Amino acid sequence: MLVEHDRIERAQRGDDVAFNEIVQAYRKRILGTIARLIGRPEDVEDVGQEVFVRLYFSLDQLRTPEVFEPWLYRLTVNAAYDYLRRQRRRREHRMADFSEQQVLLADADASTREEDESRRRSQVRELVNSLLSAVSEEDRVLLTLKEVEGLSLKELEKIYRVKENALKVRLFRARQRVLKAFARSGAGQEAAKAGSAKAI
Amino acid sequence: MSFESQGDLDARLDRLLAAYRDACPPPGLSPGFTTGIWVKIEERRRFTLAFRRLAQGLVTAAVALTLLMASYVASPWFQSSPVYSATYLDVLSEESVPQHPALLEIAHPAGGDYEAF
Repeated sequence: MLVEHDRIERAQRGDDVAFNEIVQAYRKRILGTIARLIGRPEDVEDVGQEVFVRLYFSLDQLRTPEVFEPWLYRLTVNAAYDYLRRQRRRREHRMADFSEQQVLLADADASTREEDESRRRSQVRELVNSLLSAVSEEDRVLLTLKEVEGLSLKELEKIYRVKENALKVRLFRARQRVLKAFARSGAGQEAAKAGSAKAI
Repeated sequence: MSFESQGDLDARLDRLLAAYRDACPPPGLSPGFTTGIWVKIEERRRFTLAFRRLAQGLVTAAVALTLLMASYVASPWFQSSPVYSATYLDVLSEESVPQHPALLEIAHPAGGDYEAF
């Protein structure tokens, strides 16, 4: 916990100073999570503010300060869902949109050190965004929390309020769907070619 | 897809996701971040307040209209209305019987001569 229970309770009673302290304590972590969940740095702050606004208006629904962190994560995940849904409505990413060259450049090992780092990062983000946009927002967020954010199954259990086994099944299916999308993309075709060449 | 290529794909996806993690560094915190939160909170509060006022106004108007209608229904003028102060049968029984001779003839034929029919 980054803040004491007392501070959370004070914020629940309407203490704005305590709420500000909670924002100060968690904003970096929340913004980092959002950045990885939505993959668009330009919108991270906006979604982050939305999370804290939702926190402010729903703090009274928090029964006990012990579950504050998973609860805040849930708010973050929901805000990310909403953002991703809005984005999906605005612009449908198609798998065909990214070229094989883009895929190769984005591959972590394939990219060369001489390339401009920020450009490479931007391409990686674009590629992963395109890949993840081929699956549902739920799959995307779950997979990102587990494989990018590095949350444990126990932590995910608290956030999603579902049993570990159910989470494992969902994670497996989500990964399979992303792998399928990956296989359809240039990178996947490359891997398939490489596989068949090795088999010969 | 062969097992080999599946494994290769898996590994590539893992590498890609790791690269993605590095490609999404924590964004720089702008100084106006917290202020922005409070601006949004105030906006939402204002909206909630305006909505609450509107809802209260509508409820008040509905209550006033209900009272008005109730007082109208309870008023003596409303009670004395011929349409609602008597039942349909009462109204029928109060209707005058046909007095015209021709109508009486039809209703009660003279001599009770029904054979003609």
